Amino acid sequence: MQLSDNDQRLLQKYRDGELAGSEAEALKARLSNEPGLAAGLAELDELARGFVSGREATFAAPAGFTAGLLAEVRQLPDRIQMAEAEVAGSALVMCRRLLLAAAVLFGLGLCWHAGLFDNGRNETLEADPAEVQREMERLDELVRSRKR
Amino acid sequence: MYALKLTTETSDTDLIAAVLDGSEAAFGTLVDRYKDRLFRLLSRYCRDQVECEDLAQDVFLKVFRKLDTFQGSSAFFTWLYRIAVNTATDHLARASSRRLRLVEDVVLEINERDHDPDNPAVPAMAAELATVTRRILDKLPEKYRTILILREYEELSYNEISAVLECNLGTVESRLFRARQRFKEALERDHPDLVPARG
Repeated sequence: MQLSDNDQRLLQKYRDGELAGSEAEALKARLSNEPGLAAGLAELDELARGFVSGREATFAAPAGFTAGLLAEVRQLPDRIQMAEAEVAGSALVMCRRLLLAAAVLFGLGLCWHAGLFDNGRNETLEADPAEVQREMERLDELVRSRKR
Repeated sequence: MYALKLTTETSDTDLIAAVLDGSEAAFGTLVDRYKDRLFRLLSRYCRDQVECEDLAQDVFLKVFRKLDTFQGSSAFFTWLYRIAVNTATDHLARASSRRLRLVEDVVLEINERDHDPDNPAVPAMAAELATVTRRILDKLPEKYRTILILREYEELSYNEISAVLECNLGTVESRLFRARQRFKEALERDHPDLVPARG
């Protein structure tokens, strides 16, 4: 029997010892009456067996670890210097970012000034005003001749 | 200078205040208090003893540098765990492209080291299950892997996990649920013989 998501979550909390007293009691009562639910709990236990078996398989701190670490700590600048260095580091990063932003803006400005961006004028034909005037007169003449 | 008599009973808060006041011995006491726990946690992310030592040293140095930012709103060990988990996952992300050793080597290495042929502490089947579990865990997305490590290996409560991961209890619950589902699916896919039968 497939357990509902809600029942599976309840079982998980119960197994992890995270159900409040009354909820735990209610689930305990259900577990003794519902074999499917009890099987779900057994399955959770079974899935955790590999973790339980591996719990003790860990690396250990070697002798002299603390002494070695304290020697490293002694190499560090004192706390005030570290704080100052951190502030200086943050200021440096901020300056770098500002400079980078300024450089990008400057570059974009140069490109715009050099006409590298499409400003809609590229498709506009430019003509000498006198030539435009002549063409207008030619078209007027054409219209007049058609009317005649 | 902070005048404090260091004993095993000295509270973390007092030790931290002493470290901030310049006491190296207080930091040593803090390290001694938590190094075993830290090594145990980092073992779940490391390939070998040397890598584990390097990471542990890195974590404690970060703790020393950042100690003045510790608010004291949560237990010191959850703050330490947070730094450790972040350091380990960053390290893994950097190292993932140059991993040479297989995951199972790690557990086998530890099991061989701990194995006493006259009195086998870890039966072969349990060791194999531990190896398979670690192998699957290593393939899970980082957020699922970490939450399973914190719950199943470290046996942290939901509250402690939420403090370490800086997320709410509902997120812990649902992420753990999904992580277990992903773990089960991977077990069914890769090792159907080890999947528990439903009663």
